[in-house]
Amino acid sequence: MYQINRSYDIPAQMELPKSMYSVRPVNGQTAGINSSVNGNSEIPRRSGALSESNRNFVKDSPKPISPRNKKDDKSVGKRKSSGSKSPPRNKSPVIKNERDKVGGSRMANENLNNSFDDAARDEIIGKLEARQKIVIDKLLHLRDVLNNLGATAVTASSGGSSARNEVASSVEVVVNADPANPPYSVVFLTKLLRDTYGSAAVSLQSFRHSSCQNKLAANSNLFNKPLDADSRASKTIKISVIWRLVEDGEPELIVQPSVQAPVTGEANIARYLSRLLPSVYPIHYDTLSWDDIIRVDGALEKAADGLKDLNDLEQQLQNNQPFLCGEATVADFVTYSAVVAYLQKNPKGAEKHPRVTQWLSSCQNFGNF
Amino acid sequence: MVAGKVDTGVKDDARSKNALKKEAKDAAKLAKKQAAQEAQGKPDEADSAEDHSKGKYGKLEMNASQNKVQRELKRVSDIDTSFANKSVLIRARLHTSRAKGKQCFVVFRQGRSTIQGILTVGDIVSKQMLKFVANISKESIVDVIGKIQNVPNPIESCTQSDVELVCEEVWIVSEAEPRLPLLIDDASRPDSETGEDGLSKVNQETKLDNRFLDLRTPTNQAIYRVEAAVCRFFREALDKQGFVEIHTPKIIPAASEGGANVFKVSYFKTSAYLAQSPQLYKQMAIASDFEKVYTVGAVFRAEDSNTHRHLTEFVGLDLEMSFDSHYHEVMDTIGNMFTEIFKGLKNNYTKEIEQVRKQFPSEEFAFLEPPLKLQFPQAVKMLRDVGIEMGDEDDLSTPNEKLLGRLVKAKYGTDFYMLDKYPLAVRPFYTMPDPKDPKYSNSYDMFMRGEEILSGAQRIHDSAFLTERAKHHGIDLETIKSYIDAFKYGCPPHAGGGIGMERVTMLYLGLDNIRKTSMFPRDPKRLTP
Repeated sequence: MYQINRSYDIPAQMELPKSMYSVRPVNGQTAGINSSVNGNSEIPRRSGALSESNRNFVKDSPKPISPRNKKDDKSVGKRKSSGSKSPPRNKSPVIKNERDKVGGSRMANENLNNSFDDAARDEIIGKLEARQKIVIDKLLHLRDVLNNLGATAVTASSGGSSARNEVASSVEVVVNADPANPPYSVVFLTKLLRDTYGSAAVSLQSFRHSSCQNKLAANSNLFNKPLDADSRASKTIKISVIWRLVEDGEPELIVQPSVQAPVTGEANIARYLSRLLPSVYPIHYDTLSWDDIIRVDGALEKAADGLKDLNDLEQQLQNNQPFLCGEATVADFVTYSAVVAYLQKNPKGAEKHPRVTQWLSSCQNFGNF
Repeated sequence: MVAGKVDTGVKDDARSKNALKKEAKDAAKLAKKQAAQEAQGKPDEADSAEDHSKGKYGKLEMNASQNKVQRELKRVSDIDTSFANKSVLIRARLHTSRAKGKQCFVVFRQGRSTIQGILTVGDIVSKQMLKFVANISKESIVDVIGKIQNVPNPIESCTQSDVELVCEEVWIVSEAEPRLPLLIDDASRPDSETGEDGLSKVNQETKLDNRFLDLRTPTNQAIYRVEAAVCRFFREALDKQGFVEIHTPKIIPAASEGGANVFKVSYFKTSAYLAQSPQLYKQMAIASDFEKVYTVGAVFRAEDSNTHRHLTEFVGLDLEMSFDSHYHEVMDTIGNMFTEIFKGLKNNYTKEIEQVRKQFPSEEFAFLEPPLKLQFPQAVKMLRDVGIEMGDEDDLSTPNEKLLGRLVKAKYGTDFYMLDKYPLAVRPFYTMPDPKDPKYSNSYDMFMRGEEILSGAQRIHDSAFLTERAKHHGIDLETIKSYIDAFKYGCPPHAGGGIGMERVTMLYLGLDNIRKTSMFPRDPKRLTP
């Protein structure tokens, strides 16, 4: 039994953004899974040593503040008295000492006193506030996105949002793609990135590789969104789409060839690009709820295999929502590419699928096509 | 005549044996064999005094334009199966010949094209004629009349592999000395075939010493056609953009960039220098309202650099252009010009490129359209990512340039890219600083396969600022007075760059030495031929 000292740990019952693949902290907190696992594992150990009346409290309260814990830990075994470390109102040194003997646990008696109760409450409230802030941020983003929907690209991106976010570190992304199978998700995500970080910091440029003489799609110009000419951004996201022949027609992503193999498949590319958004952003793959993740992954999988017809998609859109999972997600972007590829082979394919047609135009509006 | 011929045969044989001993033992063996065969044939020949092929072969009198004859010469490269059973006249070099009993196989070469000729003793060809043809020294120029016939199996060793020429008349137009300093076949052999299996190879110095022979190899025939095309596409691309071709003096009064690296020549009672760059003159043309100019001409560098990519004289493709608001206009023009050159070569010179690759294998040159533009700090970051330590304002060392080329190729898949925004500290005084960050400058280099081929920048067009920058660099203002004066009376903002033609050709073809793309290279150790 060990415990990680973490001053920022969160009680088990507190609801956190559910995320499967949390990699980075959301506003300084560890995301869902880790913290709740920790919280749970503490409970049985504690309850064994505590009276019934205290159990609930323990469940609710966070684990002891770590710096003290650490000190206690060291003192164990050297000397029994922990009085000097404990607050004056230490109620049961006996219990503590017994615990120390038995398990060597660092169960701190502060848990049981009232002053800590207050501190814990403050902490919880603080965390709730932080969480609220995340929610509000998300809402603000959503509002920006909605506001920008109707506006032209230029005014939208030079609007409020560009000032708020800065690119954390420069990144140059290369997407190799077959001109017969354009990865439109890159266009959607570039648009979102530009809305977020400003058109002075995010660019999309397409190139034709000399080995590829195939005709480019008529709307290949969508893949050109240069930086503002007077851009002074020191940190930028530059996405280059290179039209060339790729294996199986699957686009591939290269960021740093010296340490990575090319990442293939538009779904994987879209996931990566979505993660370049701030982590509070609804499109960010890691902010999806568990429910949505499985739906998005399912849709991504389907899109990756290529569409044989539009019936399933029509069915999926029966709920009258504008997008596949309610809000726009990377699944919509990748599926869009698949549908366009399908419609290229079957120009009249969408005729009997009104919802798909509607969804297509929602997507186009969303992406400012 | 018959006796005389035999004599020459023996003499020739002895001479060629001596020569070939030097160059290629194998070839010598072959010659020995031939000599043995000839020796066998001698008694037969002496017996048959009558020569029914008389008047069908021999050595033509030296052409002094005695007669103007109307006749049609065919190009070897044009001859294919559609000529079957037709009689043709060609003028070509005798590349190789091999007599075997009553037959003789000859390979005729014209430029990069080769065709197999065949002589068989019979109604048309006499034994004497066969002997005469078998004894013509390699590299002699001959006129051949014969019938084209299809062959059942392709002749792999010839470019015209579907047909052969049944020779009826063979005339020597210009005879080569039998002793060749190098054999064309040896000089055009890929490195991979020499060495272990004993095939001989001609080293670079021997080739350059005998350039007039070396240039006859199909590879060189191709290389210099590609090089000509580089020049042509350079001109065409810029002509389309409204550029004016100008010619700048090569004898200049003073060293334009401070005095180092220039050749001093005597000039009547005083001395002058060979131009190390047409830059001042390009810029003066801009100041004189030509707006967009380019020039193609020799550039001289007195650098004692004995590397694979330095010459003391090379052909500079230089351009200069005034622009509206931003020097990127010029960069894009140059970038697109390169794209046109690359595309032109790719689409029109496939055969030549293939030919060169046969001897010097290389990967196909890859490029992006529009060209990739990177910024210097970006390049520094890429290098640091793989563990190279360098300061923000350091210039790229040659190994780092190479490495960066490989990194860019791995990520972007292109052999050509432009690197923008060099640190001001590593550029000449006339370079315009970056208005946003004084550490950097409005300057750029362009690279092919990781080697620099163009260096350029926005130039300072304001004489006062130019003076200030020159002082900052500690340059004696007297020495550059005429340069600064050129901008005193108004000059549009402009930028430009200079390209080394030989380097572009070398790197496009993936060759390893610039001496392969300079017809008569000049380097610190070579002033001949």
